[in-house]
Amino acid sequence: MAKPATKPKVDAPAAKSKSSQPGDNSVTPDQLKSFYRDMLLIRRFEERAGQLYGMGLIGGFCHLYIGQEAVVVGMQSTINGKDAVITSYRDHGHMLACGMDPKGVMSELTGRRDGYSKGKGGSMHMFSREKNFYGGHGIVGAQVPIGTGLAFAHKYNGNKNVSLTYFGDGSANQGQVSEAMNMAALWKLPVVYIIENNRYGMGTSVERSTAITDLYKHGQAFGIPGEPVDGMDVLAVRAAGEKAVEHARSGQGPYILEMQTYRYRGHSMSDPAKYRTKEEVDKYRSERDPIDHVRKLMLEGKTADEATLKAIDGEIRKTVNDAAEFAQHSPEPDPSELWTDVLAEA
Amino acid sequence: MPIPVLMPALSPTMTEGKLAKWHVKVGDAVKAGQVICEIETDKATMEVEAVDEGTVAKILVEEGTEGVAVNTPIVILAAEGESAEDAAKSTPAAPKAAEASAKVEPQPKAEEAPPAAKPSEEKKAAPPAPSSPAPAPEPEWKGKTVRMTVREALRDAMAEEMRRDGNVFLMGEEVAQYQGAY
Repeated sequence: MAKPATKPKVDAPAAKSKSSQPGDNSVTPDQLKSFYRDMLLIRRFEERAGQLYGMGLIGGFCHLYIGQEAVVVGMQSTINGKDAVITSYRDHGHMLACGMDPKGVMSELTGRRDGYSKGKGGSMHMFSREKNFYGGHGIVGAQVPIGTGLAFAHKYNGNKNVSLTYFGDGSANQGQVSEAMNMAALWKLPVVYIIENNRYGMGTSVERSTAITDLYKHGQAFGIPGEPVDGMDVLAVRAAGEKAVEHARSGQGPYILEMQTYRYRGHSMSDPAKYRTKEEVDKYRSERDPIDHVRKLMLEGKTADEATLKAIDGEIRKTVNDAAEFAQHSPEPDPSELWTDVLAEA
Repeated sequence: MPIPVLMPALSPTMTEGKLAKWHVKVGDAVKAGQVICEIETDKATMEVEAVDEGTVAKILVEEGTEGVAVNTPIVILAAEGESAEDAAKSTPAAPKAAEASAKVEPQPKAEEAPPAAKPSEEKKAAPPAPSSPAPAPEPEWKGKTVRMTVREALRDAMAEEMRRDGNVFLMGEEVAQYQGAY
């Protein structure tokens, strides 16, 4: 079992010693640039989604990923297109990181025909077989047994693919999560459990809800190795992810990564987040922002200049504006669609 | 083109709110993600972040204004390269807002019926006969009634229960304190 590194103190956002520094040569300048682009796409997309929600164009509930971008972007860089990905309802970022079309994602948010679930699933229920994205799931923790099942299928079919199963600190205490972990360890299933610990399950802090707050230790009863990761640093995420994915792919069984991250917005659009201080949020935003971090790495490492970054910003803004425009003009689903896609005969 | 910022809806049921506080003034440069103002509803006070970059050209709704309808333009931003004076002169148009509000208008009843039933048939069709006798109508309430949200009703019911029986307590009070929807 891998020896877990010392957990950085979450109250002190500046975990400088663990952060990657300019000149880190574990990734190429091009990779760094693509991390920047992918994270910025998620950030701008989510801001726009928040705006459309405010205009009444997105109905129901909507959970934004702003602040946590480094987790999914770093992890997705460690897998191939055949590996399965599954997550909770805070899922827009995962879909974009899987290469799903921003127009299709935004149209699903606005409930239109060109959305990934034909406008019938909305924010929490989108899938892409083509990209092996097995969905956003609305039930807390429900994706964990399903993601474990995907890993079972990979092993059963002998195809060497892995399953990346994302969930939050709130889900970590769910009974079904423990049951799934037991089976994954028992049968050595190729699954990486990625706990996105953003410190609050809705309005309840990890300290108030969890007996063992080191969530990477939650697999110890089953002998699943785990480690904490600085989830605000995309390079730290990638390094830990490569190790965990290799562990799972090589037949050694499941692995747990506790991504220590932070969401800037409330749990959902209507949450004013009174359970934490403004200072706490500001500190993360100003000192630990994952996008600013990569920006700094590129500028200080002289792998990109301001003009290049500005061009990327403009390109992303256009992609997101086009998606928002498209999502407002795609027609609503035909009423006859109410009766379709209810049952899939296997 | 000048960018109008609209009064946002922060929950599926919000129709209006109070503009509690401005965090920016005319001439300020605004970045995406920056808090520009606070709005207050009957449930909570929330911060509004800018989505677009620009310079504050004109504030349309003063601090402290109550009952600002969702989708009303509240501030105009001058986009990069625009003069704030010109942007301030522009009349904010909110075509998207109109579109959005039109969407929530009640639809004609015929459209709610399953596609199999044609509207004309639906009108003629007799209501299906109940298989069991209809329940006796509830006796009409003669006392006073009050209007309250489900949230308030739940809170008051829990409070009443706790006053009545000293052994009743709430587990995980932070769940009760949480102010958002799911």
